[in-house]
Amino acid sequence: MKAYRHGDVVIRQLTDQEYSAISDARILNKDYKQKTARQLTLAEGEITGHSHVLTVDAEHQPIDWGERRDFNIWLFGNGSKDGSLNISQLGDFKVLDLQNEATLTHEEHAQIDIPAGQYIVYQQRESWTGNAPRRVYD
Amino acid sequence: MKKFKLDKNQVIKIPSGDGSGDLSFWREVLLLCSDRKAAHKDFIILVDEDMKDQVEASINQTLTDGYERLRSEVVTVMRQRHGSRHRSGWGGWSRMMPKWYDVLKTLGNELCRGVASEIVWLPHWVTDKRLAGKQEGVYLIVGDASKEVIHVGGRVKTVIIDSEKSTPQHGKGSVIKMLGGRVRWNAWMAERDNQGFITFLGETDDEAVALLYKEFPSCREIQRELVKRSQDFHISDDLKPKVTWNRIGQIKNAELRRTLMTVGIVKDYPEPEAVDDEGELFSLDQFTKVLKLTCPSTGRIYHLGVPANLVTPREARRWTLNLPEGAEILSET
Repeated sequence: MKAYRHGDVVIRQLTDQEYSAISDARILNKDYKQKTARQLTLAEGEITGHSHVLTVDAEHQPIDWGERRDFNIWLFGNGSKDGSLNISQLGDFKVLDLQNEATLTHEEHAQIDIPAGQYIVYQQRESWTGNAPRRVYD
Repeated sequence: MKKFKLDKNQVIKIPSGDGSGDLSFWREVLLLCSDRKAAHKDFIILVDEDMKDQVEASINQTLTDGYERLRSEVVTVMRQRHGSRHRSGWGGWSRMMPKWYDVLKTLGNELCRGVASEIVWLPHWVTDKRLAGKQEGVYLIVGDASKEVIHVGGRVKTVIIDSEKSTPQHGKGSVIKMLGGRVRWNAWMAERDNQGFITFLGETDDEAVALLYKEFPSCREIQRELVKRSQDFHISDDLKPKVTWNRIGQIKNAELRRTLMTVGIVKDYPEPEAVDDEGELFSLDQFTKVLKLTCPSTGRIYHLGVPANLVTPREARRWTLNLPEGAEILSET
């Protein structure tokens, strides 16, 4: 199981079993609005304003995505089932289904190339004075 | 001086040669606008093309001078307050703002002598057209609304005239309450409706930012400015934020935490109880250990809280990454 750390963002490969469970949740996304872009912001710094941005190579199809806010789930694809980039977000994590290699960039961190595959994306966590763990904010 | 009577929705046309470049003319206009009968209306002042440059220069000069004076007075007030160390129970707002209001009022006095009790000049960060539109009263808007006629190039774009001190100033936490003398100010309001104190202070020095942070530690605009300046932040020791570990644990934002530990004075830095190539780990209390680690990309040092049952920095770092057994980190930046 491979993982990447990009600042406070963690991208970890999903097992087939995990991805299958999340795929079931994607049924909820049957009606969503379509947009098109090649970039996706995975996380944004609330003070610095810097962002972790995922970009699909220009030679691939543009990314279309839809959203259904009542479930807080996002699906990303090129409008077909074989989209180049599919993402759904459940709560504090996102699920990334990369059909092609994508590049993760940030203003202060080095670029990372993420190969095709299924990943879960979330942020580093911490816990102070016995409180429940929370994501790291920057 | 020629006097104008303002009726509802009346547009005042200022002819050439009537002294409209003179500040006293504007006092007269403001006096007229503060007429109770003319309440609840906006007035746009038109200027003849040949007078435009002169009027604009006059307004700009007046506003710029006043604005600069206001900035320096605000910083002075902050420094005085820092020396007195008076704080209110809720972050200093209620004590700070009457002073702030006094500064504005002083400026209003200077600009509009004789009517200062009813007139307050506000820089654009305090209000905007949208906010002004919500308030009751008479507005002389010199700014976006009339930019084709009078183009105000200075930072102060809007003037609000509070014609009736008795007019109820509604709105929860509304900035405009300042005008009624009932001074209450919410940090979120300042951030939402204004461009913030830092914008107001502009290219101010690090000292002013440190003072602002002492006064308004929860204001996001000030936090952002502090973080932005953290690389090259020069202030004297007595102005440095004193940071306790209790405070560090309460700060949610890791970047702000890092900045405060960089530019501030951290009290009672504990000795690490475990050190390895992943970082340092030390105990804070019975529930928490603090992991000190260095970002491989930026070289910055961060402190993250972890559960007290973790023993080594490697283990603690693994916990923060929330990775299952067997997960291999291929790349870290």
